[in-house]
Amino acid sequence: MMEDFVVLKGITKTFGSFVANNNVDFAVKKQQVHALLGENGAGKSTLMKLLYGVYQPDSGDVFVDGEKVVINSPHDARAVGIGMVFQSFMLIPAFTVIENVALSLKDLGLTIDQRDIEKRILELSDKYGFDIDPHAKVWQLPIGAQQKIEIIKLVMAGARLLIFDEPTSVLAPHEAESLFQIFDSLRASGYTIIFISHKLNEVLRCSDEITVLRRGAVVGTINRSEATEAVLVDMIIGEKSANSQSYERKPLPPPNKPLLEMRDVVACDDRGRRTLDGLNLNIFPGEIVGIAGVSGNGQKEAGEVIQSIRAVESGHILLDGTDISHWSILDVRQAGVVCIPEDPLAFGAVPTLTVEENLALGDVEADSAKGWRPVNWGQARAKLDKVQKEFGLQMPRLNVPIRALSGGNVQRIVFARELAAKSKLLLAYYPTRGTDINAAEIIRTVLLHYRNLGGAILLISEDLDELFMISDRIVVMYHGRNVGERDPKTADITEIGYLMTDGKFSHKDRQTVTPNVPPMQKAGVESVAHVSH
Amino acid sequence: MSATNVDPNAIETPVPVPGRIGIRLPNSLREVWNYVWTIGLALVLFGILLALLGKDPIRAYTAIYDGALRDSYGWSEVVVKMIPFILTALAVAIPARLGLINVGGEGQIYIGAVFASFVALKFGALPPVILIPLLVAAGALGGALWGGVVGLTRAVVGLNETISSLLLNYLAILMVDMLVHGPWKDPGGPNWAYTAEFPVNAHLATFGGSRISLGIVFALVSVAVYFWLFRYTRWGYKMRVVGGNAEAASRSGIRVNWYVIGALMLGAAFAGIAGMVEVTAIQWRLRAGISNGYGYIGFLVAWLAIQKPGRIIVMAAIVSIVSVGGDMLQIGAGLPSSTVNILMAFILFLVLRNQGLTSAKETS
Repeated sequence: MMEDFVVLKGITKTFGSFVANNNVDFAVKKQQVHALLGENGAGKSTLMKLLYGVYQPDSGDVFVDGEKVVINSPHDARAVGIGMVFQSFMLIPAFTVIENVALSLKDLGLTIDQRDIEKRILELSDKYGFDIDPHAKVWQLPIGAQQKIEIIKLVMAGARLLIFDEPTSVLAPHEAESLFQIFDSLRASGYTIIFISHKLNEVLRCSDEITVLRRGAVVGTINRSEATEAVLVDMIIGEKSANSQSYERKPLPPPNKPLLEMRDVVACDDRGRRTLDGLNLNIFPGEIVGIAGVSGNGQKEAGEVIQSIRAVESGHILLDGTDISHWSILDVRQAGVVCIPEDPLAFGAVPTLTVEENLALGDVEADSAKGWRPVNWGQARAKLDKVQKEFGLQMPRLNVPIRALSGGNVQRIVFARELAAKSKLLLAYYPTRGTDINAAEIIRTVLLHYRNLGGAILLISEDLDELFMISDRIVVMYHGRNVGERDPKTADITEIGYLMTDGKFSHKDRQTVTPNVPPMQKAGVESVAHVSH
Repeated sequence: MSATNVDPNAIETPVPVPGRIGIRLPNSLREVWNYVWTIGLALVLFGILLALLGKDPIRAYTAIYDGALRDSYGWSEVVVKMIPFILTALAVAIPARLGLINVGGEGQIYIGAVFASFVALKFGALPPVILIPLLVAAGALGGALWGGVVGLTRAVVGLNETISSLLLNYLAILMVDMLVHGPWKDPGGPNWAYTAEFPVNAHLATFGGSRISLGIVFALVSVAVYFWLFRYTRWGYKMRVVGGNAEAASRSGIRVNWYVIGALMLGAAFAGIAGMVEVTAIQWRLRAGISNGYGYIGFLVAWLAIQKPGRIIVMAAIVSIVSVGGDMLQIGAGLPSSTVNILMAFILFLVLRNQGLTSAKETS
């Protein structure tokens, strides 16, 4: 029987009348990976912030190594060996890795021995396979590497328990896998890990014990060996959930002219890197085209050039046969392209305005009216009512500033507004990222309903399961190109994995290459297979 | 559908619910009370400061009261000064609604005055019915062009509007100096730096025997235009969207740059009208130093009023009382008239602090 490292007893935390944690008992054994599972708002993050000293509990006790402790601040938590990696990293982008690590060291003297810190970073980097250049500036590094710096910081500052708050929400699938390998080796070296997630496959992949929270209370703690997807879903949802795979789906309309054609489109990202390098892509009316790819291979930019948010350097984009590559954002919108942005509050809503005022944003038909005319709020409301009925979306109150709503509700409002606009093509950027299982299911159902009504959807998602679930066609992007199109009903997920990481797939790969060591040579062969209907 | 599982009214942050009569009245009363005690506290602090300097605060306040509020002359002077304060406050408030900091009200007054002076000197023979609207248009055009420079540089090359508008103030003041010392200098005058007096048709009408001109009507109408624009129109709505989230505005198809330029030009047009009123109602000629810092006081008024139209009028009146009364400090209490700027600063800091507390409460 292994010893407990941290024990929480009877923890209750309220915010006003909202009970975030209700009499929670929670224990983590030494040298284990303990997953904390639950829907958004189940109280996972709050519980961990209590442990890390960000909040203080209203009642309840914390024991570390069998001794009762009071943790009033993150400083106290670090003193007893508890460290936490938040969703948004605590790094200074303009500083090098060494400088960032130095900031968190307890024994930092008056002068900084950069050599010594560099040596220690390299040692850790070798031991756990981080592959980090200590002299790189943090802003130059991908998200996955930044996360590794956070781990280095905690380990070097003497943490023995590492808490990760939804660490994979910012990572691409292969990066997530490498994080789980790091978990394995940290555990082997004696560290204890708490891992907050709402993704079942990740939890099943990497944890020893799983605790499920629902509405602030513990549903139960089970061993990995007892856990299956079905058991966990029951614990999370609290009722038998419907089979999420069975979405109602109309047959595709007969082959027709494409709604949208992208021909050899070239575009650059914000740093001037060529992220679209001759992209070819067709979207037909009434189908969902899912884009798969490792983050940073031009998926997001593919949507942005269609919307005209990003300039097309060369190549053409045709909507219904008309070249829209150099149209204004407004013209593209008026031509019937709407979008669910990746971060609705940042890109699709105005936090200070009320829900109702946000509903009138970008209303294409109303926009043709003269500027001195008043906004027709009644019309905005009427459209919304229609959408609510048609898609079954529920709306919050209209007269509060949208910033007062939860992220899920903001997304729902932006979603409803975009659906209410007259449109032919919907661009969905990571529509279920960060949402809980219920909300994700609603969103997918609505997307399919839009498709069944004859609309086309470009679905950009990092969730391969989702792409397989609702796409009619999966397009794999690699280095800004379309490297292959597959029918999700017949496609092999490993094959798609190879296309994502290597840009090509042959049967030779299947025998000789293991997923951990992908050969990173440039894609010589292109297999752009235009699937026609 | 499983949508019913989710409570659509789940709100994470408690916010006061607007629109309920029971809450609205105490709220507005509390705001008035906030202003009253804040300004009262500023008066007390200023009094203590005067006492520490060995001056009698009671005599100082009596002097201010005598200067600004005792008789109809004082009152009329207060109204006369409110005109530029209100108009330049609009020049600050309108861009501020889009998140832009315009400190160029001062320069925009000067250029508005230059354009109006040109019309007055050149077309002074026209009947007032035609000439006065022409003068207003000229003043507004001058201000708008000056503000347009700020907007254009901001939109095209990304120059910070605060810095460019500030620097343009000096340019405008020097341009007026150049004109009144050079080409526009009164040929028949005693060699002073001003233009010839405008023909009488170009003098703005005044009410009764006072110095209060038609300008107060222009100012109040301008506030009404500002209110209507942001409250009711599609343009105003889009400007609020730009101010609230420029990224979302741009992605929803709003041409953010056009609204940035438009807001700076519109605000500056009102400041230009202030310049026109100054030369046609008060001075009857263009001279160096016509504005005397009105543009900066307008900035103060706009922020004291947190850009709300009604409050702009109220705060302009309060600042005007302090300013007019302050001129009497020298005579009445033996203090330099600029002493009153200290009182002005106390009011500004205390009101802003109060607003900071309120908004901190709202967002926490």
